[in-house]
Amino acid sequence: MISLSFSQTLMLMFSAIIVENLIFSKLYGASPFIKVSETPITALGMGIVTSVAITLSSALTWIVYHLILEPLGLEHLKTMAFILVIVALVQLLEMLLRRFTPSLYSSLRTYTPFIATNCAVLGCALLNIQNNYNFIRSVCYGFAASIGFTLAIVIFAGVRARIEFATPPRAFKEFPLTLIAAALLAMAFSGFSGIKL
Amino acid sequence: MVDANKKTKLIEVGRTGIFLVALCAIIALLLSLLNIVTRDRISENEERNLRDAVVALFGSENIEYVLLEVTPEAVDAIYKVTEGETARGYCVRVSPEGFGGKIDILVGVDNSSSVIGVRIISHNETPRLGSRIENNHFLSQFIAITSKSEKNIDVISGSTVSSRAVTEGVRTALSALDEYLLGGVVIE
Amino acid sequence: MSKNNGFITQLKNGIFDNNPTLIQLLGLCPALAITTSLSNAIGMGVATTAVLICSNILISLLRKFIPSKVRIYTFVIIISGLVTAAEMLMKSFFFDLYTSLGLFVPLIAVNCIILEGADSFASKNKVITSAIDGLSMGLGFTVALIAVSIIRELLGTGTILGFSVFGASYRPAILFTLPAGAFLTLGLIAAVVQKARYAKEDREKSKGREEERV
Repeated sequence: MISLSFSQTLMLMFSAIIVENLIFSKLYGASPFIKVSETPITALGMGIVTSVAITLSSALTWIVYHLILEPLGLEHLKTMAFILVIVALVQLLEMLLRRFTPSLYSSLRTYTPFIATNCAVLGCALLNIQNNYNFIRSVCYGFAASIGFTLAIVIFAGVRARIEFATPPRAFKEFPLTLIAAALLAMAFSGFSGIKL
Repeated sequence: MVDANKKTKLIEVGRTGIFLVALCAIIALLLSLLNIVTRDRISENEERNLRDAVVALFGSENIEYVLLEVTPEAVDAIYKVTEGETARGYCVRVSPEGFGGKIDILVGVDNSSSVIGVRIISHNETPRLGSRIENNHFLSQFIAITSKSEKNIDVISGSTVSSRAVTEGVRTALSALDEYLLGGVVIE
Repeated sequence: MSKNNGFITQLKNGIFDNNPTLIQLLGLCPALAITTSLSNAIGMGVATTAVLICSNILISLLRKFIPSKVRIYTFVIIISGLVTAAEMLMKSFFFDLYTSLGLFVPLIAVNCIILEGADSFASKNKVITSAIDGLSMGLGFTVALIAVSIIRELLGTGTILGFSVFGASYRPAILFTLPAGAFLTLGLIAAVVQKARYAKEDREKSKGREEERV
């Protein structure tokens, strides 16, 4: 496990946010991306909660893997363990939200199931393990990747708000048009690929 | 009355808890059994991949390779390759970051520390395009390179990221091997 | 006779009317990410269908014993257990497919289709019905994956299942192998599906009006 200087960490974070964007480059988190991006405000709320979830779960899953599973030789149980951690974490976050910001809770209520089953949350946790990151780097990567996710869905929500008033042929209404808009956005982001820092 | 309520609640929580723990335990047990059963086969598969690559690099079925115990941080593994009694060279396994994730490559190096070939063991690059790094024309550029070479490697147009990653990987492999060999211990 | 009819109807329902990916919008992640080649799509589809059927069967068997407060945890434990088993089996017998699909194999465990099937169907229905539902949803998912991947592989690399179709002179539309192409292909397919649905609705509406007039 290679430890890095501060500036290297920053560059890696930039890479995780823009160049290897969770959605546009790796296609993790595509489901909520399409579904929860109706308005920029909900998108932002969703993005923030997901970011908290990803960052915390990166930390927790790292701990579970390196301090519990590995010493006991139970690495093959990581998928199960990680998902349980994530589901429990999301429920905990839900409870906290309900207690402290009931208004935010009720507006995001319909979307919370999308967080636990978001490929991005589990995906980041597994990526951290696969790339053999140390604890700090795992958390930083989770944090950065989730910023990228939030960025992506907020931008996309803005795009969707604009095409709200378009009149496409009936076959393209709603879902297909959303996907095509996403395609254009993905094309824009692919311009970043290959930037090596 | 209140006590009775509390008691039933406690029993319910207890029952739920036991159910979950039991379920987890049973499944974990089954999975561990499956793991034991499939473990050998899986490592055989992974080994076969590696062996095919080493054989292809050194051009002979009779080669043997041994994992060295000392692995510099920047690479995944260094193998010493022998054929019968003769030392043929080394294989360095590196995984540089490509377009779609890590590219697992094996760099074959002969006894004078110059590259005899590069094989891609696995990658998640875009099919066909990123996969072009597997073609011989690109990979043959690395032949006879040493860590002191200043050769300009031509990237494959359209697969710049993947190509650069492989180039970077070869460079890392060579310098890691140098570091190891200079480190003094040349295992007989 | 009616049992057979019901079976076929349910399958058709899963593939056409209620396709989990194209109509219910579930399981979009794999549909976009791994459909760069037809073999990936078939492998992923089969694996997901297998897990889906097994999970539906298991959950249906246990449905009377699962405490409702911890429903989700139970489902998740069972599903992730099955996915881990599938992972190990794939690594043993289909190693190349496993390296191709990469991290998306364990991600089957968070595929909304499976959780949805468990929550809305298997926990409330009998074993055989649940199994058939699993099969129909799984087939629908696989069909969607195949549709997307045929286009992406054919146009994006000029091959099908690795066999070159257009010959060496074909300059592939690389876009289709990239995420942007994934969105595009899925969008176009979804548009075709939606057009078909509207056409069907229109036909039924005009039939209804004719019947009224008569």
